[in-house]
This record gives sequence, structure tokens and C-alpha cells, in this order.
Amino acid sequence: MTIVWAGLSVGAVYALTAIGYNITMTFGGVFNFAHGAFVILSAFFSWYVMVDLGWPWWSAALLGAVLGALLGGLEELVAVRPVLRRSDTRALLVTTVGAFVVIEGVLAATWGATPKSVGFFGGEDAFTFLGGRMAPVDVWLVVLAVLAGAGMHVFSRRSLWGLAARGATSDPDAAKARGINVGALRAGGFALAGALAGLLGPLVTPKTGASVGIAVSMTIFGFVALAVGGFGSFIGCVVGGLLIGLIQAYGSRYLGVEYPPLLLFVVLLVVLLLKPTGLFGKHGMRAV
Amino acid sequence: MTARLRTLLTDTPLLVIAGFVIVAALPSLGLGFYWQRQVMLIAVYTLLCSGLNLSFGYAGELALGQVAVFASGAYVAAILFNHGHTDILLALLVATALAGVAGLISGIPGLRLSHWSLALVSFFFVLLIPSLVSILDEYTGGSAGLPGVLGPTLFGRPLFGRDFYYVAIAATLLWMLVLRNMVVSRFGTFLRVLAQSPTLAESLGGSVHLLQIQAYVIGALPAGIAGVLFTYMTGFISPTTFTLSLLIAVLAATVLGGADSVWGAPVGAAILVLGPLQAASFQKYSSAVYGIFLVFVGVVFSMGLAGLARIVRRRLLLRRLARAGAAGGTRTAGELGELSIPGERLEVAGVAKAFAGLKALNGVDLTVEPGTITAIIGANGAGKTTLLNLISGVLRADAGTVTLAGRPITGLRAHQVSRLGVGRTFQTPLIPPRMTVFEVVESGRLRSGAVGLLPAILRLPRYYRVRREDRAAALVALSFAGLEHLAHQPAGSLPLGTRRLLEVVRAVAGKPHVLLLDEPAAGLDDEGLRELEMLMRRTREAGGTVVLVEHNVPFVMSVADRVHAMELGRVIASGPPDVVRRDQRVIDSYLGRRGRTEAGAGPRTDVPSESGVA
Repeated sequence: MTIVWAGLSVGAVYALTAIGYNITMTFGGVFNFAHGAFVILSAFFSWYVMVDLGWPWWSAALLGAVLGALLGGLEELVAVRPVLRRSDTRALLVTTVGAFVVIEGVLAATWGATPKSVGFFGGEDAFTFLGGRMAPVDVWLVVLAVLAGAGMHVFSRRSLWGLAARGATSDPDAAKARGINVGALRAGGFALAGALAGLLGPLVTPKTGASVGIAVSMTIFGFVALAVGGFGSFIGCVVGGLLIGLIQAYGSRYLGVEYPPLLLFVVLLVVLLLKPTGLFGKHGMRAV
Repeated sequence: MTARLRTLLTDTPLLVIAGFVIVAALPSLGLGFYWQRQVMLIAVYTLLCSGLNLSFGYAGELALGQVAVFASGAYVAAILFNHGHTDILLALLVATALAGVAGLISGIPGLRLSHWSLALVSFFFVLLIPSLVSILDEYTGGSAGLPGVLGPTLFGRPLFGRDFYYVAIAATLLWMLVLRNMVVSRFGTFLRVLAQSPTLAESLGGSVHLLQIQAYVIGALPAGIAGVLFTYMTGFISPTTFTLSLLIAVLAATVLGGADSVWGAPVGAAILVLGPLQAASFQKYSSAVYGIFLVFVGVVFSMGLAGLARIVRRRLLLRRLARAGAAGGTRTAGELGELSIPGERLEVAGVAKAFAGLKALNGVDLTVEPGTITAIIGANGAGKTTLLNLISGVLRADAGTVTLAGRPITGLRAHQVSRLGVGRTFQTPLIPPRMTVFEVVESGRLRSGAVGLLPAILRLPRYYRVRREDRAAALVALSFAGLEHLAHQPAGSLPLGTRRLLEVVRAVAGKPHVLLLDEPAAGLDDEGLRELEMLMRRTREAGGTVVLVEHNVPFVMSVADRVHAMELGRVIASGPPDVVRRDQRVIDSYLGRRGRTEAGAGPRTDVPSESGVA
């Protein structure tokens, strides 16, 4: 059972990253390659505020959310908007990869020279639950991932924002004609995804630690979670994330720590080939 | 004589070969060991960048697996060496085979999904390298790496120092020539079209899936070669070489050199190896600088250095042509020979198509006789464009059959229909903006005959014959429409009306059995309409079968031999223009009251046309 809890809590981190991807896709129709880097940035920022400055965790969360929103909006403004104006979606890949590299490179040259760790504000003492050992942070992570997924699901379906976004991503021109500010929606999506990553920093960092080295795996496994769960579905992000967390935990336990990437790669290929829409997605990613 | 020399310099890779020969001669001119290594490193990066050029620059798919394929090539060479197989040719063979497989694996999911998933699936490879190296540590030496891999053999002769340098330079040149020959061929044209619009690639007779797979697989090959060269150059490999930073550096070098250019790769690679970022003071921030650079290039400078060179070259060419044009005349159509277009009969029987329950087509029957112009008119939503898309294979019919010259083409995919001789244009002209007008017209020829990748790589006589035929046909088609004077202009610079004509010319160049025109007159002024009408009449006179979907009723009535009027997915009237114009149902449904009162008044029937309203 300990493996299950470990898998679920790691999976929750991937689920939260996948939700970040899905936010920019839902509200802007753009896959933000740099989102994994936002998660790592937020980890280092939490370390800076909580450990280096010694401020309380909630200030790290609030400041992180503000910083994330600003940087997300900035990315949209600098690296996405000018490219879309030229309707050159191919260059969008280069510029969002570029944004990823900028964040990763700046971190590597500054805070990221050595890996950092942050203690959990909710306590460190592990306890036994349903026959498995788990730490308080594990419970928080899983609960928050589920809440975030459900919240975004409702928000994207019920709110005016969500409805406008659905129109904007399916037919930008028609949406513009109806007075929807497509650009603002997209910028809002980037800011929201950045804010979410920043807000959760103090929660995620005690689990993952802060290191530049995990930026790639965060980017990739977040994407696998999205692909398995289904592009466009927030519920899918959560289910996909938890599922691959379990696969990773069991793979490490029974095959060895070097096997999970290989396992997840096979899972990704199988899902993309056999069910490109994932478990909960409707349209696949072709339309994006 | 000077013209001939100029052609040799600009249209053949002669200059580049000379450049490589000079580089190869450098050690004999006293180039030291350190600089020999730097040059070989440039060669290795050139190979890595050139793979990205093909898959990303030309085919438009960002495959990020280069570094992983590079690693596989490097490990293959080292492992073979450690097992006593020191022959470098064997290593190159195995490495390229493995590279092809890797390209295939990362490419397959991309076929069914978007650009993003291909980029991420191939990015995944970066994460797999350390795992695979440690799982196979018995062979790979794990994180400690494999030392002492020096002195491969070629036909039993060990290669050290200068000898290996020659082999590395020669291998790089060989690959670059192969790549150049592929890019300057039908295959390369197809890839450029594909990057612009998969729909267009299909309508020109290319299978998008096949082209994409070819681009991934071929794009992966040079990285395998680079891996082998790298191993034997350094004599030591470990997983720390094959990192994300390397991938990013290669990507940056590729876009700097110019992603859609063959010779941008060595330029970008040289800047990467020798450039300012290698200075110690920059090392710390090099990654961040690469990132800023990628954003910058993607936003404002997407053509790279090679793009700048191309603009300069085109300016020079245009200036020279202007001078030549003043001195002597250009060849006229008469000298080029007549164009004959083998029109065939097209039959549509009982075709139906529904979109989510909405019946767009509800049992359409019509026959198009060879050598005629047939127009399909009807209000918006009558199903005209849907019908065109069904005939050309873009959509699949729910029921009914389409036959071309007695051969059923129902259910075939767009590129198959195109290859059987159906040419088409689009409501919004699909014209790759970076091609010249002449190249665009030439691309219309892709439909007929094979892509001929192998003849192109080896520059066999067959390649030259096909190219000669393609160019001649393109010239004839251009002069057919009186557009010769625009031949060397970039197609993106043309006004909308000329782009519409260009689409028709492109289709005509492929000598289609049936030519489908989707609202060709929309947005054309009187002058444009006259040119279009002339072009269509000439096509018919040359034997062509033309099917036209159009809202401009006066235009249709003056040019068409036969008109079919559609309403709500059915044909409600067929016949010569005069008959259809007087048909009561057509007047009620489409032409309207004004149409009826003026129908008998004369040929200039002015009805509210779509283009007029818009």
C-alpha cells in the first residue's frame, strides 16, 4: 500500500502539471511547452521565500501566484502573440521551447546551481493509512490535484470565460466577430496556468525538491498525464496523472529505478496509437 | 560562357564542394590538432543540424529526437569497437539503420496527432538516454562511460589523426550532397508544400503520411552518422554528452543558419562551435541566451541567415533578368509547343453526404462531358463545395459513386484521386509564399509520375529527364496564362487575383483529366475575370474538362457549356446556360425575382452574386 500512496502523490504532481498544460490549451488553443519550467521555477521561488528569506508558506504561495501570472502573461505577450499574428503555428513550437530554455537557463545560472529542498508546512511525520506509510504532504497533494481538476472542469464548462474560450478555440474568427477578445482569453489562460504553478509551489516542492534536472521529466511526464487522460479534459488530467504516478511507483519498485521512463514511453506510444483521444478526451489533439 | 559559369556556380553545389575540399586540405597546410578537432566538431554539428533542417525546416515537424539518435550512433560505434568490429563503414551502416528505426518510432504518433505530440514524443528520447544507458550498462559502461575508442579501421587500415579527419569531412560532404539532391527535387518540393498545407500536398498527389514518415526517418539518419564520427573523434563517450543543452544548442544553430536551407546547417554549426557563446564568460548563461535567441528567431527572424542570403540572391537574379529582358526577348508560347490536356468524362451518381445529421448532399447525379466547361451554381449551403470535396477525395461520400473515365474513384484518398488525374483549386488560394511563381506552377506536375527519391539522390538520367519535362510543361502553362513575366517573383508577393489565376495555372500544368475550380472568380476585378475566362476557354480548347463552382452568375453564364443548379443538396436543374437561367425552380431558389424579370431581357443578367454582396 505504501507504493500506492507514493505513486498517487507523485502522480498528483504530474496531474497538476497536466492541468497547467490543459489550461492554456483550453483558453488559448496553444500548447505551452514551457509549463514544466514554470513548475520548477515555482519550486525554486518557494525555496527562496520560505528558506532563504524565512517568510511563511502562505506568502510564498501568494507571491508565487502573482509571479507566475505575470510571467505567464509575459510569455504569451512576447513569445506567442506575435507568432500567432503571423499565423505561423510552426514557429510557436520554437518560441515556447525557447521560453522553456530561458527559464531553465536562468535558473541553472542562479538558484539552480545546487538542488534545494523545502520542508512541508503541514508537518513531516509520516503515518500509516490503510496499511501504507504516507506523509502529510502526500495527502494534501492528491486532494488538491483532485480539487484543482474538478474546479477547472466546472470553471471551463460553466463560467462565461470557459464558454467564450470554447468558442474562441474552435473558431477564432467567428468568436472575434461575436466580440470575444480571443487574445485576452489566451493571455488570461497563460496567466492562470502560471498562477496555479506558482500557488502550488510550497506544496509541490517538499515532494519533488527544487532542481533544474527535473525540468525535463516534469515537462514530459506532465504531457504523458495529459495524453493518457485525454487532451482537453481536466478530469482526464487528474486520472492520467495519478495513473502514471502508479505506473512509475510500481515500475521502480519491481523493475528498478531506471525503468519507469521506458515504461511510460511505451504507455504514451500505445495510448497515442490506439486511443489518441486518451481516456476522457473528445477530439484528440489534431485540431489544436 | 559566363552564363554557363554562373549556372555552375549558383545552380550546382560546386562552390560547396570546393569549400569542403579546402577544409579537407587544411591539415596539410599546417592546421594543428586542436583546430582539426574543432573542424570535426563543426562537421558533427552540421550533420545534427541538417537532420533538423529536413524534418523541421522543410517538412514542418519539430522532431527533437536528434540528440538521442546521436547518442545511439555514438554507442553503436563504441560497442562495436569494443567487440572487435572496428570497421567504420560497419558502424555507419548499423548506426544509420538504428537512426531510421528511431525516426520511425518517434514519427508514428505524430501521424495521427498534431505537431505538439511529435515534438514531445521525440523530446521524450532525451529522458530515455540515461535510463537506457544504465539498463544496458554491461555494454554501455553505465554512467562511467566507455573510454579508449580510438582508431577505427577502413578496409583494414587504421584511421588515426589526419586520416580520420579526411574520413569525417568526406562523410559529412557526402551526406550534405545527398540531402541537397533530395531537397532540390520533387521530394523536396513536396516537403515544402507539406509544411505549408497538408491539404495542398494531398491535392498535388502526395500522401501526407508517407511524406511525414520519410521526413522523420531521413531526418534522423545524419544524427546516427554524427554519433559514429563523434565517438571516434573523442575516443570516449558517456551519457553526460547527450543532454538537453546539446539539443537546445543544435536547435538554435539550425534556426540561426536557416531551418529551410541545406547550407544553413554548416554556417549555424560553425557559429555554434566557434561563436561567442563558447567564451568562458558566457558559459554560465549560454543556456538562457540560447532560449532568448530561440524566442527572438521564432518571432522576428524565422528565415535565418540562409533566408537573408536567398533574398540577396533573388534580387541579383531579378536584376540580371531585367537586363537580359531589355537586351533580347523571352521565348514565346509558340516556340514551347502547344499544351494538350486529356479531358475525361466525370460521372457522379446518387452521391450523399451528411454532417452530424445535416444532409449536405442528398443524392446528386450529374455527368461532365470531356472537353466542356460545366458550372455548378446554387445558394450558400446548397452543397457545391461539399460535392467538389467528395469528387477530389478530401471528404468521403456516405453513398453513391463517382467515376472518372469509367473508373470508380469513390472512397479513394485525396492524393490517390489527384494521381488519377483530378486537379483542383481552393476557395482560399493555397500557395506556399516562399516559392517562386515558377516553382508553384512546377509543383502542379508532382501529380504525374513517381516522386523518384532515389533517382534524385543519385542524379540519374531519369531525374534530369523528368525535371526537363516538368520545367517545359510549367513554362507552357505559364505562357498559357500570360504570366511568364512573373516567373521568378516570390508567390507570396502576388495580389489575390493573380494568386487565383496561379492556382489554375498550377492545376493546368499537371494536365488533369478533370479540373475542379472552387469559386475561382471570387474577388477578381474585371481584368482578372477576363484573364480567368480566357484561361478556362484555352483549357477547354486544349481538350480539358473543367468543373466550376461559382457564384458570379453572369460569369458562369458566359463561360459555361452546361450548368447544374443545386438546392439543399440536390441538383434541381441541368442544361445549357440559357435553359437553366429560365428554369422556374432555379429562379425561385437562387436567381430570385430580379433574375426572372431580367431573364428574358438579354444576356447581361445581373443577379445578386456572392462576390457582389461580399
